[in-house]
Amino acid sequence: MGTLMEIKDLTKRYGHKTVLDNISLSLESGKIVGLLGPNGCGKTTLMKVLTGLIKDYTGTVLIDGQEPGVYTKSIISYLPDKEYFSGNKRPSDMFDLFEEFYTDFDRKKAENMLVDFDLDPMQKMKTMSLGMQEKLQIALVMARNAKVYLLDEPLGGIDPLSRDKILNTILRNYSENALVIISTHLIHDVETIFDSVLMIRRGNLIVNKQVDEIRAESGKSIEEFFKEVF
Amino acid sequence: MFGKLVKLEFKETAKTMLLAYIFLAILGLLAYGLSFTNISAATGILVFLFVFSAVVIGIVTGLLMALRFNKTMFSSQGYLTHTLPVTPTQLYLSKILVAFFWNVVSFFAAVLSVFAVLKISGAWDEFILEIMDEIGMTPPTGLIILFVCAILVSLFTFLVSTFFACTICNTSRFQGLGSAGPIVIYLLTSTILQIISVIGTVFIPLTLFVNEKLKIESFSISFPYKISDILNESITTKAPIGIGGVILIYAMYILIFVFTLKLLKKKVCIK
Amino acid sequence: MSIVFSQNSPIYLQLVEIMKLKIVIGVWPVGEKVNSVRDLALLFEVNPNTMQRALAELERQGFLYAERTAGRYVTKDQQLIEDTRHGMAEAYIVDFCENMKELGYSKDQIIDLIIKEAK
Repeated sequence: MGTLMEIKDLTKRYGHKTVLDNISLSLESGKIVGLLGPNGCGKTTLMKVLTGLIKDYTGTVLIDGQEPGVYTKSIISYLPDKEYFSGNKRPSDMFDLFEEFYTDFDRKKAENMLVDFDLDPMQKMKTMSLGMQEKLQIALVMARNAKVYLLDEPLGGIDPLSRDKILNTILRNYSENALVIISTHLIHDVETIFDSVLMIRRGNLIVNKQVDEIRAESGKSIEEFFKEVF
Repeated sequence: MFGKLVKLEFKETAKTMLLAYIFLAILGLLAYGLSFTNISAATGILVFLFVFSAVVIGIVTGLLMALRFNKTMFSSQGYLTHTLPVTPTQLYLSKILVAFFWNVVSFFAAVLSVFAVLKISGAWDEFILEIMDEIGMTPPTGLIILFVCAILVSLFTFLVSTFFACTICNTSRFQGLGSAGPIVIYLLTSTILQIISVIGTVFIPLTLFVNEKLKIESFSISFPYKISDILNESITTKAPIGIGGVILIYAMYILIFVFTLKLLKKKVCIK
Repeated sequence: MSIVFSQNSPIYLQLVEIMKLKIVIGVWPVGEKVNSVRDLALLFEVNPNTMQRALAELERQGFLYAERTAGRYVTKDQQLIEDTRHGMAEAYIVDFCENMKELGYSKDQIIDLIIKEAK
């Protein structure tokens, strides 16, 4: 257990528009954190900075003591909100790729998840529906024994039955040495698994509290509290 | 890690490229086979298709590689590419090296195809005899080597400038240009470089002199096109080739190469 | 198991009550080994840290005991379980009586109704 993520005064601007405004926070391993906020508030941008997809920012971002780079990429398992496959590939090709580049990838785990999700490892990506591709992405991400899991909207567009499976997978993968950050709209389904939540409005971090604190102080569920705040 | 990236690039490009080469080989064999029959029309068509395909493959390979670079680095696939635990430099180098490899192979495939057709039809031998009359029995190896090197380098520089165009169009400032952006930037840089090349050739005093037998005779630190010579209409037995422009261009390409890497390290934003 | 947690108290305390009931009823038998934090968290679909707090609280109250590395076990303290069961029963009855009084039932009417319904 220790501080895995340290962000100080992170600011990201696109021209005149400020997408992230002086965000500072510190997160430890062994926690499951919710990242909440309306569309366009900066959640995805924040994740992209953490994963190294956006390099043009001011402020300090440290993941396990290092700035975003080769090391942090090797310990971060990222689920983007987009599908990133090329149509001709198959799930087993993706497993080959992940095995090749990530030492923490557990192929057996991934294959089992595919079975669980009812997916065919030899089916070409272009013949898969969006929902199927998303499930494959989740399998790839959760089959890694990473230190940081960044999940951007893991439940959107997934049928309710699979949502439970995915939540199960997240909980099953829980480790005291890992930090999980989940960005989502579907607060109701997920709030019981959060240790704390981060709420972002227009690029500003307005709430960074433990879930129990919020419930105790406001007497509300996280979802209701969220509605109140926004 | 770099080796793995190169391996990955090869794996993903080999299928398409080998298919193209096999297709070309089949066309060639068909044309060759038909040439033994008397169906001259069919032979003619196939030979034409064969040469045409070879040339097309030669040209299109470069474009395909640039498109692949754009797709894997800056489309939604970029989410996968850029989260691999490698540096942007490693990504760039692995892609440009493999792209260059296929470019060279396609180029040689095209050249060999044309050569095969010319040789088999006998046209090559005739052509050689004529040339030999003009320039003597020894082939102008120096010039040929220079020529081939220049072409190989141009295959590489094509990639450097197209990769640059793709990269710069994905920085925050230029993202507004949309999908036509890379083409515009590429044409712009090509034009600017051409102009620089001409200026360099004329004004930089580095000249190769080639005699009428196409042998490289001498190299001097002098202007290739002297106004005095032109005015005097002096008959020189040596043709000047100004190489200042070429050297300047290569320097520019190195700058573009380095600049692209810098952009990749700092400024790129994947949408 | 999808439990709808109320927002009136912390989840870990609600979990404590749920698991306490299981012990008292005997669903989690006396002396039996309890599942790991992770498995329980999965079962109840809650954060493992939350479950950890709940289990720690149950330990503190004496319903579970931990054996150094072997895990947690349900207490063998029958007295505690009996007392708790009584306590819970009494609480139900007090609650029930208050509700019935609110409905306007007298003590005798309540007893008659119980005799009738408790078959």
